[in-house]
Amino acid sequence: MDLRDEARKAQQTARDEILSSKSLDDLKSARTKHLGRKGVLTLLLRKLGQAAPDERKELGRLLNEAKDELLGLVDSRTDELKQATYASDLTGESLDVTLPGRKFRTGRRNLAVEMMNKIVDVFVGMGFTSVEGPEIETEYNNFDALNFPAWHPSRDDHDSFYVGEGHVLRTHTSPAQIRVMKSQPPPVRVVVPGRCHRRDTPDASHLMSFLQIEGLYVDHDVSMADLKGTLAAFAREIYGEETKVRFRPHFFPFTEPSAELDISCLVCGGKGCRLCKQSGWLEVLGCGMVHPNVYKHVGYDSLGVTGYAFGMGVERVAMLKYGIGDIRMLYDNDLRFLSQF
Amino acid sequence: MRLPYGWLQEFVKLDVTPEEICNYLIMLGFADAEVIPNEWDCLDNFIVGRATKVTEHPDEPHLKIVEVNVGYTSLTSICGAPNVDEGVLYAVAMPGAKLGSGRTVDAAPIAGVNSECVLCSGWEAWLDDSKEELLAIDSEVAPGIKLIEALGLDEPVIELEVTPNRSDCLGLIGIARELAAVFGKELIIPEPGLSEDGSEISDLATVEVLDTEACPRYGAIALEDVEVRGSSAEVRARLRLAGLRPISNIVDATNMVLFETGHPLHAFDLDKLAGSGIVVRRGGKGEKFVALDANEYELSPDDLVIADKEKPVAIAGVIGGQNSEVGAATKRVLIEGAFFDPPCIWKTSKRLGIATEASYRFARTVDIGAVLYVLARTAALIQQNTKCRVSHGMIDVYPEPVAPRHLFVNPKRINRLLGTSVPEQEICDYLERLGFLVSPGKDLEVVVPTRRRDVEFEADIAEEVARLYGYDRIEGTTTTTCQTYGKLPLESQIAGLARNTLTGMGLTEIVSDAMAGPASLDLFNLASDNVVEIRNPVGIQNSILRSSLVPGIVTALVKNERFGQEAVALYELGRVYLKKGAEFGEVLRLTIGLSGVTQPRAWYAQSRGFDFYDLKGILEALAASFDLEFGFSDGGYDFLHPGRRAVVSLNQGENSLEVGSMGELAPPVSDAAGARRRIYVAEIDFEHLIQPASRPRKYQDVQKYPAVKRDIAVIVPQSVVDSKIRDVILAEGGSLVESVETFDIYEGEQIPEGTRSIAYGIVFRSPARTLTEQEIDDLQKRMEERLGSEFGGKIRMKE
Ligand SMILES: [Zn+2]
Repeated sequence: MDLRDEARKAQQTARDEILSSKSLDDLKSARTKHLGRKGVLTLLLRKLGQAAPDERKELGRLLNEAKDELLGLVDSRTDELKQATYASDLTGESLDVTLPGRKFRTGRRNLAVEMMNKIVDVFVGMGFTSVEGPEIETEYNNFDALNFPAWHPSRDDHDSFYVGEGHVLRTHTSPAQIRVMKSQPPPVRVVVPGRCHRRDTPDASHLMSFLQIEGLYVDHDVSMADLKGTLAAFAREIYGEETKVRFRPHFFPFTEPSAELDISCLVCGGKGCRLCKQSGWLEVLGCGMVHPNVYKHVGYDSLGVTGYAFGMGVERVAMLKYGIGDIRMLYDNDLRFLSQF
Repeated sequence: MRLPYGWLQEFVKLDVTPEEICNYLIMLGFADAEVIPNEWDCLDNFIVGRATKVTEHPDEPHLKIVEVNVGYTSLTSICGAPNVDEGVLYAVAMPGAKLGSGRTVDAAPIAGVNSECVLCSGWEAWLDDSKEELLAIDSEVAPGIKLIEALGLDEPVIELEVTPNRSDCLGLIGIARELAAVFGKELIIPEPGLSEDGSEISDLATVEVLDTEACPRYGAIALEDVEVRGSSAEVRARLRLAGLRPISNIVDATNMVLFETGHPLHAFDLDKLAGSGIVVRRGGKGEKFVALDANEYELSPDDLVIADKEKPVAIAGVIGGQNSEVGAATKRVLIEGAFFDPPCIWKTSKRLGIATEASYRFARTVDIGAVLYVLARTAALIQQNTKCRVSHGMIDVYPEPVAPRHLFVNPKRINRLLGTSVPEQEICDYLERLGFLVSPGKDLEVVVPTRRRDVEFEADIAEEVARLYGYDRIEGTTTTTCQTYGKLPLESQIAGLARNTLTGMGLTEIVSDAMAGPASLDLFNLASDNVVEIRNPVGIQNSILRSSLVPGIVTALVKNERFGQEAVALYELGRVYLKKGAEFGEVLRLTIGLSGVTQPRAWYAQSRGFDFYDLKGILEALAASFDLEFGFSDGGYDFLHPGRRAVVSLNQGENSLEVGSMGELAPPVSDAAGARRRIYVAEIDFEHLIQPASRPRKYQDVQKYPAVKRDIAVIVPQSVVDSKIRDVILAEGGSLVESVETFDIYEGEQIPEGTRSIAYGIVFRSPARTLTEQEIDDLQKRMEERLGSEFGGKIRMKE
């Protein structure tokens, strides 16, 4: 058999094997067997030297054509086999997609803490720095320096918790005002979040321990209008853009003039309902311009500076926002409650 | 404080509804104001009737048969009252009416005569305690009209909450002044209109004030030939609307003036005052006193006492005494009008537990300048309605008269404080409407009436201006030239990151009570010497401040287990409170608590409960999130299972700092806490993490040479702990070991009893070059030899 026949036969055999290969593995071994380094066609090409010189050229062309054809066949067979594999995979590997996914436990942030942080963030965004103060506070900082008269009822041991000598569990975050102003000259612009304690009997709206956020801004030319504008911005941020605010006079020993901030009722929007006792307004915080006596206590020149302060109960903000009727729910640590927020 | 609408109108004529008045009062700064529902349903079946004919009962001498004109008809009433006068209007209860005595009226024969209605006493008509006298109606009304209408009991009443600074508004005139100022109306202050037709006051009584600090002013006026009886029905009704109980014409007059002016007065029976003299002094130690409430009180030198020459006759500003009470037999009356030191009254009222209309007002302060007016007003009211003679002159012990304050205020500064531009003239106008005297000048000179002791500074004047200008009209601004910028303290930032990580790992944040009881110290065997005690706790269970977060989280774990929660994974970041000598400290701690299943029963996995390593993994991951590393070693809190606990330390290079403790709650503790499942808890001093977690960090080149991975399995005695083996691997491998992971532990038949096989996956890498197989083979061999010699371990290659 001359080389030409040998080549034709090898080409035919290879063609058959490639076309009949049943898997990519079969195809790969067929390719190696016929077209690889030790493949039949390669060996034939090496034998070209033995052929007569006049045949050599034609034979070479023949072998190269055979190789090209076979490589083409390998490519197309590869494609066919892949398509077939995909098809069988796609039909044979289907899952019950309705089975539930593998579970991850999801944790929740605490509603009260989260609300406190959110409020702090709003004020930080407006240029206030957040600071903290001790809960075991001196009576001086908690009362005297805040212009509470010596016989003020809230100093009574029915109203406040006393600890050690001259110390009280702070009844509000306001004593932090004193600490901050004593530690630095104006301008002062801080918010103070934290826990406070009062000797209240726990009920739907009272707890012995609760969270408060104090705000203080003292500088030259700080006005009540600034206070109102700042708190209005806060209310819109927390309760929504359409929230309206109302300022009305009130009394606190450490501010003068003093005010209370009401927001338009979250339930009725101001028309009057049970939540707002038909008034259309909900009370959210107390505020005012820092009292001259407070400046005296911290050594500020009361004629040279003006400033405002405000304080709000965090729980009330959360309760109004989420429609929670009983403050005790917030600290019951019941997952059925906590996992809702 | 209650404002009967009609009564209020006597001092300012308003043409707005009571509801609108409430709104104005709220916007003036009263904490709350609302119209209260009428409380006189009980008088539904009571009317006014005229006794037209009174005849003696034929059989019963103490009964009278009275013909009563009730408007549309005439009814018969059988009446036992001592005096029924023809032509007089009386309160009449019709059938169906329930009397104050409890009896319901029905038309029934009394002593053989049909009684169709009842002529009522004040008691039967629900007004007061007077049972004898019939309730006569003085005003000329038509018979048949409803009793509540005739007495004005149908008028609206506003319930008002007055802030503590506004003691001047604890009387109707004070409130009327505010409303008059808002509406620009005239304030009507009644002239006393007194006719001093009696003896010289100096002949009737003397007053000696021994403590002028506690009693800076004491005034008195005397009445002679007084006829003490019930007040008119109208007065009684008015007092009831104000929430007071009518007593007698004398006491009622003092109460009327108290309600008008906010200034309490007291009436003594002058003949019961030994030596006809008042001595204002301190109480004696242990001195006993029977007050008008019939209770005996023990006085002390802290109390201010009104005495006569022999005995206390009143606790100053708080309550009168039985020994000097005005009664039916009283002929001469001494009326006291005074100013007492508010803190003194407040303390006594608090200490003795007596709260009266008087103590409430004196404790908040009254107008020291109004003493003579209120005395004259009281005497005049009595004189108008009762036969009596009023003393000539009044006693007024007032050694150091209080002058009105003069303030100099600057309208520009006021506007700057408020952020407004109220014209100067308007400012003056507002102040004058409120009764301040204003003189112009560079600064305005403002004379503050003595009733407004709360007004001390320009800021107080600014508030008065703002109240009348309207807080509503202040336009909010947010523009500021402030040079500060907002930031969070480092502690909050790091705590926030930790909360993210812990929440992301499926833990829910709780907030537990700051207060605890000593029982929790016992249960958890916590030290008691560093615990902060509350001096005046509410109950023993709230008598200390928490010194550990663990009892709180355990309570929450147990509670949620009870609620049927399968998986409870909680954390709290909060303060504990510690005492060190006389100093107090507050430390931020983190606690984590686990109970129940971490892997619930599912189609893809078997259920698995939380264990020690879940908790440890959480702590490790938390540390890793800050690029920190915790170490765990033997030890930990006493309340933890001794075989399942560890001390947690923060590894920092060569050093390690103890930061907390973790483990399984010891079974006795967990039982005592009421848990049915195993509980895992950790407590970490979070403050120790803050600086390390926020330390500056630099970028490090990512590794570019390939890693070589090898597994080693070693069979060692049970007593050899994992970390020891890893220490050897690390020591031998030096810097070429990138990581060692324990990936398999086997105990069982394949290996000798008392041993276990632990398998490690080791990653080798050099930052400087590609490692050769040969050098890793050598290294691994050395490791194996060392493990063999250290632990007697048998090494086997993992395939
Ligand atoms: Zn509403």
